[in-house]
Amino acid sequence: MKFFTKKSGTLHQLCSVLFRISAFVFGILLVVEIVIPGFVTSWFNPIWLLIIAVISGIISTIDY
Amino acid sequence: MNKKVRIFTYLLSAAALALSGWLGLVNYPFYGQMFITMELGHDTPQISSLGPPSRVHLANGYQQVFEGPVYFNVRTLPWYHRAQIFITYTEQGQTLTGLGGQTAPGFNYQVIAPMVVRTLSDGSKKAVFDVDLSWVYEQKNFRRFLLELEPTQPDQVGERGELQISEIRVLLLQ
Repeated sequence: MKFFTKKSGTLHQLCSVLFRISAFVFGILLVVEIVIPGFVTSWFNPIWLLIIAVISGIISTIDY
Repeated sequence: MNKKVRIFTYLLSAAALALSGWLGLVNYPFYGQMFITMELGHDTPQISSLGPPSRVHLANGYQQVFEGPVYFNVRTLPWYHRAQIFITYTEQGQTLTGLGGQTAPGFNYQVIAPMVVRTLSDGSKKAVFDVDLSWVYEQKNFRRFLLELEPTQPDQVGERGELQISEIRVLLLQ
């Protein structure tokens, strides 16, 4: 297994895109929530985005 | 990047933009007001349940309040400057006399009388309180309010009456 190396399969690429976008959106929402408490967490729990980012990030780096 | 991945990227980007737009709209509505309804007996991110627990009890869909004051917290965003608080209740030995907004840390409250009290067809009452949020102390991301109660007949010692609250709604106004 080679971790953290670029993979070229379609699933790897999809997971890579999912990882980047969900991590980016989570980061933005985190900053917004710190600046304006309640703006995000009053409506939904952004931790799900982080979980999606972590899982897709792991899938995009593993060989199978 | 192949076609599938490109389409997936566009879809995800659109979803992220839609999420941002939705969050903006629900927090900053076009019509400038936001309703928050208390789920009696349950805390929600925007409004807490009534406390302290020793003075309240949830029964048959309404909140029994045995003794005042009881408090609740409301999350308010910085662009809301006024709140109208609608309380629907039935007096069973306890009378709702006012609503207090916390003015400073600790037990510092300014109590205001209801703007309107209406009697509904089922015998319950609906009180409306109008609060200027500028004088209500903001603790990080919420403001605390309390309900002030008095026994309906003060000379009845030992009789524990109750106020039955069936709904608390908060209308935040810009």
